[in-house]
Amino acid sequence: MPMNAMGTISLGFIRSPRADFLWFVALPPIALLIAFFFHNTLPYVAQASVAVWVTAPHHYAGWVRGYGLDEDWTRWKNRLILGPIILIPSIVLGTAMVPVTLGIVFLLWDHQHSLMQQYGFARIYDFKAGTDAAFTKRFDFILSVLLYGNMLITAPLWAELWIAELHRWGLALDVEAIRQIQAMSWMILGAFAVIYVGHVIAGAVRGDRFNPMKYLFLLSSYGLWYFVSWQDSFLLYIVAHRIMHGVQYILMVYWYVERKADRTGKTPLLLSNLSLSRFLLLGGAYAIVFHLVTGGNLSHFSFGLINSLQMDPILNFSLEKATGFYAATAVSAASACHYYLDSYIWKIRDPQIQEGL
Amino acid sequence: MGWLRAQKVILLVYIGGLTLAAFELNLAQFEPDYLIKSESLLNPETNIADVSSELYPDRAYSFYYRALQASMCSGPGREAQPECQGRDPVKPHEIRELIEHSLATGNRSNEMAMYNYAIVLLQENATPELVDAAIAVWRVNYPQSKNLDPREMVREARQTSASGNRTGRGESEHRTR
Repeated sequence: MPMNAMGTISLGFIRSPRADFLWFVALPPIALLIAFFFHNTLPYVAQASVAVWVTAPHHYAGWVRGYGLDEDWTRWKNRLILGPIILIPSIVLGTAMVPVTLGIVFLLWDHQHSLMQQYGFARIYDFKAGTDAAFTKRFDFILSVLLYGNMLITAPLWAELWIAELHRWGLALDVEAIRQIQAMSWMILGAFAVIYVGHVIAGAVRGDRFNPMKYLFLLSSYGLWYFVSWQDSFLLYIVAHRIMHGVQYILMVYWYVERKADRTGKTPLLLSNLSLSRFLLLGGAYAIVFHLVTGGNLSHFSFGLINSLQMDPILNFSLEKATGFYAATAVSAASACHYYLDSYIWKIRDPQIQEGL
Repeated sequence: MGWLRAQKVILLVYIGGLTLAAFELNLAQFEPDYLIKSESLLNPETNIADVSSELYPDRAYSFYYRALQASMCSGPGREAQPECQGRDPVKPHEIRELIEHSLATGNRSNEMAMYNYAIVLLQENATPELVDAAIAVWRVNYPQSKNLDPREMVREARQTSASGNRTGRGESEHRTR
């Protein structure tokens, strides 16, 4: 059967070509650069600031969709109510009684959640391009699981963790056994990669179409994960991963509710005048309130600045002094901006201002 | 079936979590500091320090595990412990050098490497500048740490050791975790 090269490709974008290249292809390398900046110049505590300013707002974005959109609330009301009622006491009990279990469960759930988010975006790419051929969903799912699983088994950052856990369980493996497991993992991934390519070629012969954006997106995402997992720095992983995961999720939710608003005229709670800046501002406010309510430290807002002040050999601040310095700076900065603002927004001679008087 | 399918993730999380919880409640290994005890670090058949060092010799945790291993076999009476016999004797400054190698990798996710580095410097009577710098690095990276100031920790350990010696119960000041 003759193959039309153009006929096999169907471009589809989640938002637009420009937005997709920026947020789904370029963001992971950008996140890596930011992570290297953290690694090279900021104290370890600075990673907590990424949790405050990216991870917490990404939770907020999820709340906006689930609890703020009428449609979602009506559709999943039982789960939206029962979920927290079951989960929160479980976490309380787990923290008090089985902290190691809680840590392991959360780490694994976080990995599953991360891999499913990228898989979900890949599915959206197929949906948007109309390239959701038979078995593609299943092949993509297996590819995602094997890619991610292989990373957890073979990358030093993760192998160190599971090797240590096996010692705790009394299931310690010797070096040879670990190497065999890792080699097996690579072989399984390699074998499936061949099958996957065969599936793609067979699809092309059948006349199925493919969205190259999906593959670029997956390459960029897994490129980030694989790269940081071979570095000797958990900080790099935390910062780069949180930025990629959080920012992409926040944008996806915003675009989703915006599209829903366009089609149904309904906006989420507190967002009747939906705009990206308002959405992000509310996310920032949520992050601040959440952090303070949960007893979070002020230094987590500052990317380690407060602590750096203590380390400065000339200033030689105590923690108290550094915190005071930070607070005083914030108050003075707000005042200065207020003074400057008032110096130009109250010109009575200005006809536009007169209209408001 | 539809319900099970819809709830499969949460069900898996709970089934897995409850199974692990049963182990954690019943097995001593689930103490949070189990991995830095001698069973994990000095077992002659297989231990985490030797396995890590062979698989990933240049990584921060491998150096750190080896430092812990060395600290368990150094000091009065420790070389004679059964789990330390058959291991090379710990060289002077070996613990310090191993922690320095660990920190030199740039990995700052291990608070105890920074903390214990300050302790080892104090134990080796390093210059106050070196000790202060090590403590400053630890504090800046982990400002919310609940660990005692290393100087305080070493002072307490020395006092305990001195009173132990007076009562005939010698105790090492090593508090390497």
